[in-house]
Amino acid sequence: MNWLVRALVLMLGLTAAAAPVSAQGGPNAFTVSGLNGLGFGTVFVGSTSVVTPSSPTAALFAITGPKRSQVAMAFALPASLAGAVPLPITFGAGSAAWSDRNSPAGARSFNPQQGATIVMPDTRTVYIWLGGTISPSISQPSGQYSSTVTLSVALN
Amino acid sequence: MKRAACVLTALAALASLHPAVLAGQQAFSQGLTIQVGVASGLTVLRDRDLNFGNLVTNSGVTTVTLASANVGKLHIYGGQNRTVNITLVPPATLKFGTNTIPYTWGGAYNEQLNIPTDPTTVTLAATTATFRLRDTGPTGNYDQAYLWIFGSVTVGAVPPGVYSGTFTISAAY
Repeated sequence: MNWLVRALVLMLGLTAAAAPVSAQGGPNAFTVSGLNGLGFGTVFVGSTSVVTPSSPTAALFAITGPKRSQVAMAFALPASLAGAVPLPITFGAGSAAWSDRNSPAGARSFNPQQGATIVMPDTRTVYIWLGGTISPSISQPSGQYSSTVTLSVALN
Repeated sequence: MKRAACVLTALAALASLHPAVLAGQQAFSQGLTIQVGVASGLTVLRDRDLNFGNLVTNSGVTTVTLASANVGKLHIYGGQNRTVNITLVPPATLKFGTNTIPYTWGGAYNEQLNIPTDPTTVTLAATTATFRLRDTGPTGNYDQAYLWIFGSVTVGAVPPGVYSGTFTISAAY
């Protein structure tokens, strides 16, 4: 029974949205953190809203890993946002970008549908931005819509 | 046996959180929220009333022009680049109790500039008009247009008081 409780606690820790997940500390630490959610603000029906990776409301993740290690990134992208009626969301070939600086200026874009493999810089931290596009139709009910995007990283 | 079943259940749940896990790798996942508010409303906001100020009995005609700081102002916001139809219902007169003073009015709109005197501002020819919302709002997710109401009052031998009337402006896609 105690073992089962411990397993459940571990699972809850992994699903906490903003808590960094790490393997170990020190120079070989490997972590992934969610820093900002992806926000579209208020969008009127019949219009299109595009959040680019350089937008202040783009999603922002940070990965810390051993320098010069190879890290594979893969997104689990939702096809729609949950609400009164599912609201489709799309991600283009340039909807994601990464940089070794915490600034999207000059970041290298990549297709979030395909993911990317990068070599960790000497700074040991890279930042990943994710945008997207929504176009609520005229018939889309007004209200709040949300979903979750997950970034999975693997240290090769 | 019971404990083994618990172990398998926990491992299956953990694996579902790690779609990129491969043998011999360290792998982690992190989730973030995507949020949006969808609005369907077309909204008319009153920014400023048409105000003729304090006038003296028998002062005659006083005019508030489109360029005046006292011109009435509204803005209409809604979906990007949407076409809207507006309808104005002006008051017949300005009233103070049973006392009235005559007035005339005019209206003008601009689809994308908050500048009443700009050459692109269009004067209303009737109590209805159709135009587009073309000025992108601050968040980039909606557009707006601007509407002004101006006019003249003729003050004769009327009792002192506050004379007023209400314009009703409605908009629809």
